Amino acid sequence: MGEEITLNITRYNPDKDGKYTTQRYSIPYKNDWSILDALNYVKAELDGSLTYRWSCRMAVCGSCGMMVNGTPRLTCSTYLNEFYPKEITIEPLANFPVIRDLVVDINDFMAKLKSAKPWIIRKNKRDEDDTSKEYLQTTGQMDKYYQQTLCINCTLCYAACPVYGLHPDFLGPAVIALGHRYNKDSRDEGKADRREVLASEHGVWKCTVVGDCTEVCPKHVDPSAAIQRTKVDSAINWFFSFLTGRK
Amino acid sequence: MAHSMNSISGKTEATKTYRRDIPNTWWLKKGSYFLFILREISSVFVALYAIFLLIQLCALSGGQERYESTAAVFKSGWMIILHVVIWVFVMYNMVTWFRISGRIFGAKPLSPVLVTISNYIIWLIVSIGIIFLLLKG
Amino acid sequence: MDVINHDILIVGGGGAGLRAAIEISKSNPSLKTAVVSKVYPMRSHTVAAEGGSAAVLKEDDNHDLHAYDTVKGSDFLADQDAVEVFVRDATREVVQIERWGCPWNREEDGRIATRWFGGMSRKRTLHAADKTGFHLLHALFQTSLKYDTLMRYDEWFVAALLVDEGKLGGVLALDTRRGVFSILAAKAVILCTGGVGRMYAFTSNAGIKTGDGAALAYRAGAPIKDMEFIQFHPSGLLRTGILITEASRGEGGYLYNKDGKRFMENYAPSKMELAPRDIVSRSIIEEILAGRGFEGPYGSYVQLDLRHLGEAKIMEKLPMVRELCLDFAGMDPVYEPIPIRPTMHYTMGGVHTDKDGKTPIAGLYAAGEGGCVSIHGANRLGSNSLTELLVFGARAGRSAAEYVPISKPCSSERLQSLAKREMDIIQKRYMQPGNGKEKAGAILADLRKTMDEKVGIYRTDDGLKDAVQIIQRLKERFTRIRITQQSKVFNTELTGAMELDNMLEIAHVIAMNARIRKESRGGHARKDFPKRDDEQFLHHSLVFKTPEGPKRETFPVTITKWKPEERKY
Repeated sequence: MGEEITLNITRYNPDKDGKYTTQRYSIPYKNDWSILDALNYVKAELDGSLTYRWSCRMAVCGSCGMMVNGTPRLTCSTYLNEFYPKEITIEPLANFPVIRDLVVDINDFMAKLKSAKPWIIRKNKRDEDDTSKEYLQTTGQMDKYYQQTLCINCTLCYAACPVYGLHPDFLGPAVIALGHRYNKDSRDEGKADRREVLASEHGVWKCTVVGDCTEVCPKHVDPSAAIQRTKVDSAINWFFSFLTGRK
Repeated sequence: MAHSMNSISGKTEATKTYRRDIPNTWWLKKGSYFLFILREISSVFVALYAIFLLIQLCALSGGQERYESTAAVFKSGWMIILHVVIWVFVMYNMVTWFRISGRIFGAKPLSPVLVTISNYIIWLIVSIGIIFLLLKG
Repeated sequence: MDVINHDILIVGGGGAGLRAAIEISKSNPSLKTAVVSKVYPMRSHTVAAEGGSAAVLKEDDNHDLHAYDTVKGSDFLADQDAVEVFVRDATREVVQIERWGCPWNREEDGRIATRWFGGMSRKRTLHAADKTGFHLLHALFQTSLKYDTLMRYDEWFVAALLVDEGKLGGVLALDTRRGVFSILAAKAVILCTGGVGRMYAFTSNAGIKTGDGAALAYRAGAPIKDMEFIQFHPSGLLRTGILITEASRGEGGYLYNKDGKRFMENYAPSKMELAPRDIVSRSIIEEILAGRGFEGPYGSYVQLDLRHLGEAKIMEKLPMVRELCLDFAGMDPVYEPIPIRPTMHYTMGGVHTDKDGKTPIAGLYAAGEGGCVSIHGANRLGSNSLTELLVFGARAGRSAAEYVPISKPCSSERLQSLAKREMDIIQKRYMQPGNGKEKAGAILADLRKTMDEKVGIYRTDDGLKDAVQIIQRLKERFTRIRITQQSKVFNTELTGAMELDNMLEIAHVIAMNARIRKESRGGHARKDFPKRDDEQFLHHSLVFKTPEGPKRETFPVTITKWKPEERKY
């Protein structure tokens, strides 16, 4: 009999009894298994009803975010050997409504994503579809926004943000970081178009700089820095528009 | 018990999602959250110190007697203890503020460390300046 | 059953699907268009593509060269008229996606940079670090949000196409969140569902790559083409099969065997590590079979060495490769060589279409990896696929939009009766009341093992004969699977069963085709027929579903400029 490890996994089935509970599973311990491997084992061998999202298993699609011992993690790149021999608690991502077991509803995030206008905006609309030649952009210019392009939309930052948990109307770290990404892209001219949403009371100004979003981000996007920088931009813009009377 | 999928028309209500309540003690559950709340509370102590400073300034302008009675309160044991507590919180406020400034302004070509250290240097210069003025007087 | 009306549905929200959606929304915003995807679009497997997207951009390059490279790479099975259109559109498409925000790597002067890639005679592969697919997909997805008229059905699983006498009426789709089936009526449907990687055990592909589109089209009466041509990417990370991009060789990485030799010298002395993928993969297997591979707890492998590139270059050009090695192989390529082995990667075959994504069923289109035009023939050159998504996604979108005004919609009664027939099948096949004895997971495991062992890089008649028999047995076992979940909400056992059914359907065709094709060409290598046979087999394999089983026909290859020649690198 090989080594074993215990997983405490959240179960919730609105079709059955609608009870939000924890179920214990004992599985063989393999030194090179990720939490996702463990979940796949449970589903294949022990309990086919266990429900969770996953796809790429290489930390680039953003599907497999869950709470592992209370911290939002990507389960495909979190390994059992980090916790063994202790038990591991796996819960759905915090701050989102739970659809079933470990699957949460991220439609709020999807709607907010659109509201930040995350696309290249040009004053001359014809620029956007002109394929005769590329916009010129140096590596130096790209450095200014590249870090925030790395977001895989895994929403771990939303699960880590207590503000989002307490005030679900908060735009949230990933969305603001994405708005910032476009604001800082030298090819974009849409800063003013995004201002209303980003600088609203549900936008950057709801952030109280807890900083956990940056801590949990698996792609080092540093959304907290993006938010604070957007605050600075927004404040400077307000100050000047106040002085000059222009928007 | 099997049930027929197509007997349910598309008009059903959305499924019941489960909403987890956030307890009032949420900030006790995680180290980073606790430190965050401490940092926020530290601003209260900064404000308190500012008020104390104003009280002493007012007392100064109120004449010798007024000043001495105020000073006596401030020299008492519990006031000193309170001021130590205030000093700890102000230091924490400063350290976290300098660190965050580094994170915000430390984009290329600057670096977070550079910005934070610059803040400390400025603080040091201003502090030495003030101490010098106080000692000179 | 509920019916929701649309003009155009796009099944699959990856690179091809989103590009088609944007094209339609841009030029015909009045059309009611929707993307139906079983996952949120940002999760589509396009996101995992790494190396780059090829196009003629630089002055030292021209379209004929790109076309020739592609045709030669395809082992002369590609349709040359389609390839010529592809390379011409490619130039425009890669600039378009740049205009939509894709952060292509740049030269000093701010123009888009290119890198070397396997089988390409010029440096023409555009790239965004080594996360090109990720950046492309997110640029497309974020741009698609611009169009208010574009709808999406996120996490809806298309269970069947509803076809009325050779004409498409819509799809039957499951809203996985509520567990409710609905009819999504449409005048045109574009299948952009990707390839079949998950039927192999060792694959770079995500869990969602289950050949859904090919199975949907096949069951609806559309033929699928060239399914036997499966691409094995040379550098799959040991243990997981996770992709280590060809760009690692494009930037100068070397392949070593146990004796410390750059063995590609013996197989492709001119191109070395940058020979086309099928050649490199076979070379690695030959080395391993000859006993010159490394052995370890996870099997045999060779080494991909990047150490001589230096940390700075790796961090600039191959940062994701380093991340992947650290996170999934516990090693740092800056200091150690990467253990790799060929991994199933891409499906050259797919739903048979013309240059505009049209299938023989009126109103049905396909694009991307899930379609087969064919521009890749028997083997795809690296970095042609991301370009393919953009080119044929756009073409299929335009083509479907042009068809809509002249199409005749299917009557509501007809749709309901077609849907009911499909629901009865689904009911019987997947929703049995827990009486079956078979576990879907066990059938899937057996399928994956069989494909890896018998329909892999090297194939033999005996092996393929066995494979066909085993798959038929698996299909029979599938009729007795046990679905334990009776709940509606997010029933992954149900969608898993449908995906497995799709894979079994297509695997049968792959194995059958591979057995019939008694030659070696591109990604299809027969140990018993090691030579290419243009006389007997210079044709596409077209397979139709019939009540008697899969029926294979041949389909001619269109040759315009380049006569088939010996393929040497």
